[in-house]
Amino acid sequence: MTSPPADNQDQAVTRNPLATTLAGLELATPLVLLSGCVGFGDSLTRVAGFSHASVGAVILKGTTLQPSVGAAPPRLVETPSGLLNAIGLQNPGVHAVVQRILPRLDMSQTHYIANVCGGTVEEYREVSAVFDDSPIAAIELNISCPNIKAGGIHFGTDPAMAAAVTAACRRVTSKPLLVKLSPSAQPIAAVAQAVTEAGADALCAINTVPGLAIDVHRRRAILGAGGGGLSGPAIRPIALRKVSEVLGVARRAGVPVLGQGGVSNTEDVLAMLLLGARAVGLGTVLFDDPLAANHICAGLLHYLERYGLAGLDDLRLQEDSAGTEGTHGGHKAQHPPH
Amino acid sequence: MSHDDKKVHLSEAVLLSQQPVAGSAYVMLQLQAPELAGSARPGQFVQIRLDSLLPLRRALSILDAEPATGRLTLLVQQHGQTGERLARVRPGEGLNILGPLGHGFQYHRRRPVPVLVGEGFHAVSLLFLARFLQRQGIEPYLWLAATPPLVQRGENPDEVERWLQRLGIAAHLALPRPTAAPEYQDIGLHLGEQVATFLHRQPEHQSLCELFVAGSMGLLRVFAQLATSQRLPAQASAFAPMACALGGCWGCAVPLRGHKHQRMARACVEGPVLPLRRLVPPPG
Repeated sequence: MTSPPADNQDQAVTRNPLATTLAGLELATPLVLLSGCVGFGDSLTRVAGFSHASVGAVILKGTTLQPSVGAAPPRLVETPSGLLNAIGLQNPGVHAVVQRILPRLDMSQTHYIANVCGGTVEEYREVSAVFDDSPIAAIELNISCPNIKAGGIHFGTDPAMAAAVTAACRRVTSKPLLVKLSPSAQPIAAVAQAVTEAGADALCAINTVPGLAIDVHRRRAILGAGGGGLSGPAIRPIALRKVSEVLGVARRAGVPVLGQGGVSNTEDVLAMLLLGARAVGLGTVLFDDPLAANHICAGLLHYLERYGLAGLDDLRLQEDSAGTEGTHGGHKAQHPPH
Repeated sequence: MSHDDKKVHLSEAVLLSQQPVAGSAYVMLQLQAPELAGSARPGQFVQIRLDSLLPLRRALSILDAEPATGRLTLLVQQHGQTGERLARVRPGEGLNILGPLGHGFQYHRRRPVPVLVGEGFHAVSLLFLARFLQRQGIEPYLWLAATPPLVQRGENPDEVERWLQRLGIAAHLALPRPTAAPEYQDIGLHLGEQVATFLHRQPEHQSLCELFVAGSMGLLRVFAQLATSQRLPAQASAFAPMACALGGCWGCAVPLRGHKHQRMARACVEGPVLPLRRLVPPPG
């Protein structure tokens, strides 16, 4: 396993080349383990060789105000290069998370970020308020939930509703507020703009892509919930495109982007970083390789060394070759890569 | 046999041999995987990476594990995606394997007569349990349904019986009866009758025996009723599609009855072995 170098007395020698920041959080590496893939932070620790030293932050499972039993099984179906899931936000409720689960986490190892879900603006606000009074490092709003007061329209597809959720939560927490954007938003930049103006400290793109699978023999949807969210390598090109669109807004607002969607290896992480993401999420890849963060950190260090780069801040995309003007850190690129 | 605190290992296991068994319906894979073999217990499973283009690993029950030699044995159906891809792996090559996973069967010394009942491919976990108990000097009673996929249609179940004998396992193979009832429900009832008769003829076993069941929901229903009527403790292996297999994704939820409410349990970490009567919905 290769981990970023640890700090010691000589900082000039031991500067961690993989260090980055996200919404005020200092991350040891740009890799963030995504909500829905690592439970409440204890699943990967079962695996021999796993270390939080390779992980910048961990986003916990989606949490609602009240306990939720989740969707009826089956909840998963594999698709070509993808995974369709409908878990239905099964969770024990925010009070149980704060009282019973958070005390078990070693907050010194990495940053733990809560993932807040709700059916109303009020629920988002209440859950965020409870997490505000907890040791959690930051709050991510999952705005891909249906608004039960607006006929089930997803908060994340409407700029006004997305802004309302963000503003309500902003008022009850001083912790860094991340907003996870839905690829269904058209255009995604409009929602990014709305939540940024409402107080988001970082933008996360993208959530899963809505999908459906049919069992032709039973003549019904395979998933118990009907439709689900598609993740995995199948959505990677969509994610890159959506991230590039979000980056335009993020640069102007001066907020960082957590790029995610089908990221599976070092090259995928580099693509997101070169595009301009400040950090990169790992999700479905963890089901294939629970030690993916270790392997990708080693790959990133190798890449930096190969091209003589001191750190992630030196990563630059060929100027505007992706039509984004995006760079790591939100500044316009001035130099082509070495 | 509680091993929740044990570490899960991700390793490159060397394939030692591939052996067709039971009329080539199955392939028995023997792997050199010392860390896994050292801690694996009956009812637990592993996940194998088939292909870098497939996002999910494939979950396979463990057929046997020998800590002394570091050998792990798995059984794979010859036909289907998993069997076809694994058939390309040659002895000496590596297989990326994650395990041991899940919560296995628990043998209780206060119930020293284990009665094992299996149907379908999930019965593999019971074969490991049978061998595990035999190595401790405990002789289990094992009933297996001679139905697909354990025995393919039109094939002679003797093939399976001979293979089990080579493994050192004595089993009662139950053949399906011609009936209008659904095949699996029928074989479940048939097995239920056989085990009930066994218990009736040996009443001294009733207070000593524990049921270990693996199969379809039809089979589980039959044996949940038997366990209730005979007041027998019973464990069953549940199946659900899995992604992480580490308790992180909640994808493998199975409904579990509680005292007041039903809840969703994660088959990968709370199971796959769970209390039988809590897995089966109440009649009606």
